[in-house]
Amino acid sequence: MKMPCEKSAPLGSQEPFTPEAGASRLDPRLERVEWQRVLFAEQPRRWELMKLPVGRCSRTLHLRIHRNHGFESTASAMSPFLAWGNWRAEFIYSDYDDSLNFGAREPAEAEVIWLDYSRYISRISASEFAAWLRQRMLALRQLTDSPIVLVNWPEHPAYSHAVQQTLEEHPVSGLIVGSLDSIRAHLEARLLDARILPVSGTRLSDAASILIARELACRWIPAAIAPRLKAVALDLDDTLFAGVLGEDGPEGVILTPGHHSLQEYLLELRRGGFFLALVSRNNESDVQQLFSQRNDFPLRWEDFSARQIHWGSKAESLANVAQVLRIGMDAILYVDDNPGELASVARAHPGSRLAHAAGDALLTRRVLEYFPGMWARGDAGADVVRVQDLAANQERQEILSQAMSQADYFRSLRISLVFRVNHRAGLKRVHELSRKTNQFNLALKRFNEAEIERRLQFPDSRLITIQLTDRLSDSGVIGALFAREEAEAIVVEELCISCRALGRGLEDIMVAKALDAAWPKWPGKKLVFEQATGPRNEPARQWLCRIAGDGWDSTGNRIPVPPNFMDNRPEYALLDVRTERTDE
Amino acid sequence: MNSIDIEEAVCEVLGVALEQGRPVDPSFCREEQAAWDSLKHIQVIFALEDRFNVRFSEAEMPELDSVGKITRRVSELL
Repeated sequence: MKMPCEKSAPLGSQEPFTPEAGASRLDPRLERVEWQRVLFAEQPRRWELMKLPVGRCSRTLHLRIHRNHGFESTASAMSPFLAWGNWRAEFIYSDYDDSLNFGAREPAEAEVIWLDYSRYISRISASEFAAWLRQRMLALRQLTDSPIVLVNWPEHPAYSHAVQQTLEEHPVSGLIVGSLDSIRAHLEARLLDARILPVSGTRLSDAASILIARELACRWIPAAIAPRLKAVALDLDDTLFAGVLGEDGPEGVILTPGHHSLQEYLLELRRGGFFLALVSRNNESDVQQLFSQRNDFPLRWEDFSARQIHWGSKAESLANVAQVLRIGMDAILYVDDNPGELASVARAHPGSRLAHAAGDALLTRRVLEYFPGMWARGDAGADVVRVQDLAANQERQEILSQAMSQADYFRSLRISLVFRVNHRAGLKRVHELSRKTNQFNLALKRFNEAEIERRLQFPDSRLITIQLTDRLSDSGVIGALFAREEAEAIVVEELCISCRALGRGLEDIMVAKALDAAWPKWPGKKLVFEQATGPRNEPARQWLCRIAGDGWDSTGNRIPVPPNFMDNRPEYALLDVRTERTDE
Repeated sequence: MNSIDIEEAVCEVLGVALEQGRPVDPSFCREEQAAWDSLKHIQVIFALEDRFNVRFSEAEMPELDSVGKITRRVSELL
């Protein structure tokens, strides 16, 4: 059985639970499920948040706050929201400084820009302010490769929109602009509270501080530092509707307004590139009938990329979903109204993410909207491609099983590989590959966006992206190779290939042609691959072992490889291989 | 709520907001408690306003520095 592609860097959320250690206590993930009602209320309340028993969390984040007004009341509200993701934060505060004169530099996982724009509006126009702020972000980028989260002060829309527009038109790598427009619209006159300025150092009301804390802790910080989730697996009865299909029948179950809203949100996720999966103890024919009869359901049967509908265990079903979708268990959020099912999944899959489907489906929707790893900035192109590509994969497997030879397989698929060298437009996707890919991530360096952009400026460095297309689908950019030229050798510092592209016998030619694209005239030097041992990158290391031959050393981190490692197999002539140079 | 209930609830709020691990004593006051610093004071104010659904004026916020004073002021506002 082929193992699904799994990630090694869990999204802080929901620590693994070992049954031995937890025999006498509840799994922390299940304990935190009980917090949903407080954390994801439309307007969470300070007193309720304070009472949550925020205890031990597995990962400490160091967040540097560059500020010109008080952040402490927001920081204190972040604590339970961060704990929901199994994180705690230590804050490193700047002095109150309107000029953003970035000072001492201790390492931090993220830089947060926390400015009250009202301090500038009498002195500078919106466009001038936006241009100045962008310059300061570039200056910060020169000082650190850490992600930057800019909290876009909502009081003066002309200023916040100018900032948003300027940074969209002239992006700064690794920068998230956190919009507060929806919070301003929700709170209206309650956004600010001048009474508390002398005590808190900010004009933001308590309600605003709490809502911003939730955005930071559940959306922006996770999006900046952790991989995005890829799938939502859903129970059916009392999760997607009210009622029990087996008892109430297709026409008897109720689509409440909350469930309608939840289904619409799930459909948005699907269109944005999330996989949806159905995990239900029911008869499959009954469920099919339900979706065909209930035209009022926003979700349709075919919106689910994987379906596990039978009377077996949900833990087993979820493992099957991961395998079908070719993703790790920790990339799936599992949603069920039955705490017993959540507990059984938690026991069987220590890395799984769990959410409880509440009786109030609007609350369930908010839990999903704020679950760490669900939110992402900007374009979801690569995620949409992934969902489409999976649909084609079943057909590829059939072709492979029927093909007489690798040549037949290549011929029938009409595979095209496009190599691009130092292609700046693809940085976000390269960052995703570096951060998410696990089975075929050779050196596990996990470059962030700013590091990748900085490397493009080194004259001796090359970044080659690999796009894979066949007659069934465009898989998009599925690979990236980072290399640099040293005095004696070309060093491949990192190689990432998406698990969606594995199993087609293309690894050798992808790497060889990527190096050809980077150095069309081989400089007559040795070839060395850097490698590291991780919990899940054995396939990449086995590949390197094969091509390195006698040079393989399982404990070494620089492995010599013959520059002509690729067998020039005749079937490679059936591939359409192109290089697009964008670095000149 | 009568004043005993209010005092009990104030002790509970201070215990949580100042991370004391249990409700504070009715004699608890800011002057004698290093944990009740200016940063924590805003937590106390927010927690009290939320717990009792009241609003304090800017001028009185710094004055709310003991269980007794808070209990009296909350009683007046309820």
